[in-house]
Amino acid sequence: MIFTYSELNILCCGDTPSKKKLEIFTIASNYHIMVNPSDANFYDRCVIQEIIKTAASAQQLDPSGQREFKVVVLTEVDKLTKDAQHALRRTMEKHIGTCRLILIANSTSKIIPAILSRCLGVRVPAPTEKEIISILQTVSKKEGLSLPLPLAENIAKKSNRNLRRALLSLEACKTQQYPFSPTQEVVAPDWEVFLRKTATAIVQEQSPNSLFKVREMIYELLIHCIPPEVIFKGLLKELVKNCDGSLKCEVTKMAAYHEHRMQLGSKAIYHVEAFIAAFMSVYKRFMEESMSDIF
Amino acid sequence: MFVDRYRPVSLKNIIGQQGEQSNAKKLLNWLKNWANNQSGAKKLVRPSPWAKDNTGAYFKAALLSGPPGVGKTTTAHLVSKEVDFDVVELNASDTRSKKALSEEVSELLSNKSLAGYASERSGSDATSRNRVLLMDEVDGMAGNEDRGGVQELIALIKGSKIPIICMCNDRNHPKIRSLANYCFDLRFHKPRVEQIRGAMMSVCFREGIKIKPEALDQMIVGSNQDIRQVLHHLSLWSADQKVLDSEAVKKDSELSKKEFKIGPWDVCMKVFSESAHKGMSIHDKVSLFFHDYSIGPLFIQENYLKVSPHCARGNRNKLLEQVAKTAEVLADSDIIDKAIRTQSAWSLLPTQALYSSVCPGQYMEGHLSAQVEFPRWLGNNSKKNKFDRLSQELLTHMRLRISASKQDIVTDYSSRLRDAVVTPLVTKGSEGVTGGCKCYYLVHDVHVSKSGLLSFVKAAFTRTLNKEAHMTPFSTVSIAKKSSRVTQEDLELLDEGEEEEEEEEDDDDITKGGMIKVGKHSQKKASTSKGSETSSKGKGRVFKLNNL
Repeated sequence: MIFTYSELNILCCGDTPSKKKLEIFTIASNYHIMVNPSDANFYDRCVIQEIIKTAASAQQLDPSGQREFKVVVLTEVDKLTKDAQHALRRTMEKHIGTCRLILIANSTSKIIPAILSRCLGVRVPAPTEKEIISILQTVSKKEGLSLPLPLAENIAKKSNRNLRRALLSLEACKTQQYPFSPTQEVVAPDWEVFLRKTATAIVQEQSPNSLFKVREMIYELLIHCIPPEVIFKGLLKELVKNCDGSLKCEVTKMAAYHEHRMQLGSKAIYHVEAFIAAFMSVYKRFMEESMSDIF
Repeated sequence: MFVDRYRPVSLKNIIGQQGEQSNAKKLLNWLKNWANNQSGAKKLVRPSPWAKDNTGAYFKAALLSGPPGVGKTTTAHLVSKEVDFDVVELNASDTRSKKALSEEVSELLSNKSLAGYASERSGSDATSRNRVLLMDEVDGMAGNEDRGGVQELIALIKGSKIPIICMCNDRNHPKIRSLANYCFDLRFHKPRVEQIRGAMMSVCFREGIKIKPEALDQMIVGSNQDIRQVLHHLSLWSADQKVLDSEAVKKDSELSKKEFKIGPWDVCMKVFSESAHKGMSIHDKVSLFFHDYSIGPLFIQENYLKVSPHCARGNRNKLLEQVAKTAEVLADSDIIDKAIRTQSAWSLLPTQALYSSVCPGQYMEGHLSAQVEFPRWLGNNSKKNKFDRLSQELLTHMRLRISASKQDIVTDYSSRLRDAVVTPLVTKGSEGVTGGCKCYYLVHDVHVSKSGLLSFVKAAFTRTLNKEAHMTPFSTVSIAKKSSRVTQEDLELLDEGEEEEEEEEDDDDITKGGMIKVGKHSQKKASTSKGSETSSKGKGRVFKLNNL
């Protein structure tokens, strides 16, 4: 990754959280600026237009002592609105002489092709479970803890290849009980438990009434800023466990369909509910058919 | 004009108000006994809002509500005349802002001598005559000029020495509802077609208009049982031709059908009710949406699950299918809504009407089996925004140490952070103050504001943090402003160079924190009364899910 000499902007993408940012931190010099425009919600276009453009268009004062360009790191680029992305694409090209951009995103699917084609893509994979286990062990050694292997494996498995979550659950396990026992339970985050509960409620009863109750639960999740995409994913994962082969495909298709439409719309609850309603309808029919097959 | 020529001259002539239990009678009794009831000699109990109240003895004011043209104003005037009260009328054409009301009316109401003075000038001998204040069209008191008018009116009612009669069309308007708590509530309903027909026939006879009864019925229905409207139509047509056939009337009444506004509650009822759909064309259904297109769709989304569609009677599969279809068109409507609002494509509104109101109404056609509820989306959305703001704040503080995005803060850090920082504070009190926050550069104001701690623990926590505050080598305010990352080396430089300045900035922070604390106290109390556990109140980010 010797990008300092390249003439290209760089786009890093990878599952959250891989080592994207870390790698950039380690390599990047002290002379970079890091901006997260999507913090400004739908004003992100202004951030791009004002801050980045000014930063990018200004020449370095003393080109002999420094590099001839600045580095601007943009995080969470996939959260940018389309407007902001369009504002970015011109800036990227125009000021290539004075400014290099490093874009960080979780997925390239929400980045417009115009930006993709202007970047050198670098995919940073999420750490494997093995890697996580070894990191967990190193950390415990440094902290002076003894971590039994089964527990480390369990944490790594539960973390969903998310290193941050793994380390945080390690810490949580420690506050919960130390010395560790190999069979110690790894507590899942509250919202995950709640999401699972929601899925169970959907499977248990299919009726407008139950849909109404589920709506309340989804609201609760949304209120606490759980991204609706995560809700979709979590629900789908739980729901397909109760389906057989052909139904699995159908349900997944439905989820994808509604998730896509959610991106086009503005009120997430409408789309989550539409998905759940569709699932309930399909699932109820499926259950009754399989019941009548038995008898 | 027929309307004035045939205005009822006595209580007996008002259409639909002759009975013993009629509103006119009730109002008459209330007004007659007003002086006795309000003299203070009797102990009055506030009647329960659900109990049937025929006397209204408790109230100092009456509220007449009902659709236009059914005779509210006429009733009020005639009743006042009957009991020999002077009428002071204020209607929408008078300014009724808070100021105007308090200046003009309150004097009028509390001063008996003024009444005497006024009547003396007019030369009548009735110096001791009673007065009644008619506030017509109180639901019009919502515009800019009339700001605060309803509140002032309520205050007036409380301190009034004369009876007040208020009139309005929309009883369910939020402003009127607050007023209704202080008023003897009399609801006027539309008279039946036959009742109007009888009176109209006699008018026609006297005017020499020949009209078939069915043509008259058409006209009455077409004008929505509005007596005033019917009379207007009659006088208009009679000027044109003296013989009216039902065909012409039908055509005209269609055209003249009064556009009247109905509230979102009623819209929601109408959208789903099968009986209301009878005789409605698709255009009528679309126009339901346009009564209030910003909130109407939310009402429909909130309530569609409570409808029992008639097409799926008893068939649970069919029912779920209909629900799924409805949910999907609602999602469609959301997509259109976004297009409208972000690209200001307002020409799409009729399309949205189809998706968010007509289609759901068609799929779920039936009856509502529960009360229409206010959309919860609004409250939930603002709650979500609040939490979003809090997590953003948390992120700006923690960003220097961690690389996580906002989403990661919510999904991963929040609960752990609660365990690590707040739980010791709650369980161990002041001894539980840890250095945990220091390492994430959390400033106490953020922190304290988010925790529902006992005040002495909070104080200890603040003290400890203040002691350590000098260690924080930069002010968080600057981070928020620049939103740029200060690298570790820069920090060290700052640490040495700006120690003195930092102290000042910290002081600022402390005062800021103090202010926030005051604000949050009440919030804390509120949440305690809700009965949630202390531990779950921990951080602002704490998931209430624990309790569920």
